Amino acid sequence: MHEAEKKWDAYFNETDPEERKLIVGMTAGENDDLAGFLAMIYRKRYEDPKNHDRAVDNWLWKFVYLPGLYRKRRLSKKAMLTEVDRTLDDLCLNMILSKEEEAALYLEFRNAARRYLGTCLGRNYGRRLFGLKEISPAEKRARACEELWMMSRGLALSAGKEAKLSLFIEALRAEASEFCPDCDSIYEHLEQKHKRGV
Amino acid sequence: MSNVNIKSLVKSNAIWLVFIAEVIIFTIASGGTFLTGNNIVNISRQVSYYGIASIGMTFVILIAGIDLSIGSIITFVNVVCAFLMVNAGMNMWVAVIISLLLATAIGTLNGGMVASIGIPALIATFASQTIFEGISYLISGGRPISGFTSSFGLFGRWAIGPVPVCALIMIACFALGSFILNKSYFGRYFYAIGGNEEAAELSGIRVNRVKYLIYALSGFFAGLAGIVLLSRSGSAQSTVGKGLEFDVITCVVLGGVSVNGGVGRMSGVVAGVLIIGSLTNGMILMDVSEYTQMVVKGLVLAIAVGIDCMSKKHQST
Repeated sequence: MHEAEKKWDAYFNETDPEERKLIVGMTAGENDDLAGFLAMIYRKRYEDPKNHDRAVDNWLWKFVYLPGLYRKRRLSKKAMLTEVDRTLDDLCLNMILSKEEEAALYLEFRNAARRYLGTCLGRNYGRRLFGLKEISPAEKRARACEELWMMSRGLALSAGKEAKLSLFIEALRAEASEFCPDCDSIYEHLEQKHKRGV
Repeated sequence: MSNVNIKSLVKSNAIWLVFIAEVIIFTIASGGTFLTGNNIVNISRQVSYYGIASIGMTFVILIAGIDLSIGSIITFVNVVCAFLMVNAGMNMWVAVIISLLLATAIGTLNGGMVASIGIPALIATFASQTIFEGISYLISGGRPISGFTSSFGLFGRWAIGPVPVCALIMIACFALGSFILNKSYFGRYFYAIGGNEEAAELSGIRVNRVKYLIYALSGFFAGLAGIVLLSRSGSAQSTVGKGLEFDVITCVVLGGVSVNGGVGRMSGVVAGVLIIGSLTNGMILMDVSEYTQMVVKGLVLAIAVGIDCMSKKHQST
């Protein structure tokens, strides 16, 4: 993990897709196996197969969509399981990976989580009462942390895919810990609530 | 079935239990009149127009917005459709289509003010509420317009067997709304924008376009509700939609759609509509005055919003 982190430091720290494209493009010619893997992830994450000109972040879409799927888990369990399977494919978690690739994927998950969390401090995030009332930064951090738990650990528990999603869960937990000081207690609280079926 | 499953099942269907309790209470209080076939048909006619309007409002509230112009769109469509049929001698279908297009255009205008100019939804839709209420007065001169062809009764008075056509229109609209929310990509976009607008934008959703679409749909459904109401009443009045938006908001929030956006489902809204419809009908049967009805409905709205806010507060502690 440390090897990948050092060499690709700038790439994993950068959250802007265009800047990242330049970095991955610059190093694509180098004799580096990881560059090919990262280029593949880049395409999977940022390319819209139907419209190449459209700027998308398919993983960020997962971050937006999956908390809602967790909330509706009891209403449509079959749909939830199908979506979790699709997510495993989209997040490359069904692939057989080398240690180095796994480490790179972990850092890529953290990068996506960081980009998501970056949006959670904006004016519009978590507004209350028909969008009239802005919530405090502390509330925003706590809410974002809850969402990270729902889309990773919560969904894994609901679908019985803890092992398959472990890398994703671990990466999101690491980012949540840095983002929200109450992360541990929030994760524990949600874990208990999930067990009680609330 | 485990305790946890029963608990979660009860919790997710609590709104339906409230509805059943309400039906039992009114049936006992009215000495059985409430649950007669005639009264059930009556309730289905009464709820049809705000049931239809509540579908568009659901979409709007899901993206953490609000549409206060629904009542005045209903009034506007009432007056314009009646004016086109009676004063301009237009064919019923042409008048209905023009009215629905105008309602959709008003919704799109609301979408433009919210998405492109950035006016808060409350202010933007309050402005159009005032504008189109005024235009309705200007068109009608404050006088009722009546004298439609008997075939116009199709939308509000006719029935297929024992089932009123307006109730069938409402059911079809709820099915469409449910399909949009649960089966289409647009439905996912609505939840996503309500959950985290900025992340939704970065993930590739054209948020402004979706907002336009949502407000346009809200206008369309309000317009359709206006047509049903006009057909049912047989006369267009420039005060007919006054305050209706609050009934519609009550139905939607009571149905579990969060006032903070991103959470809610169409089946809950159906329950919300039935609860408010039964409450109104039950109070009429029990001879409760109109002013007391207003007080009760206001309290229901305050309690529904209060419960939603409290549950969010509870979750975040």
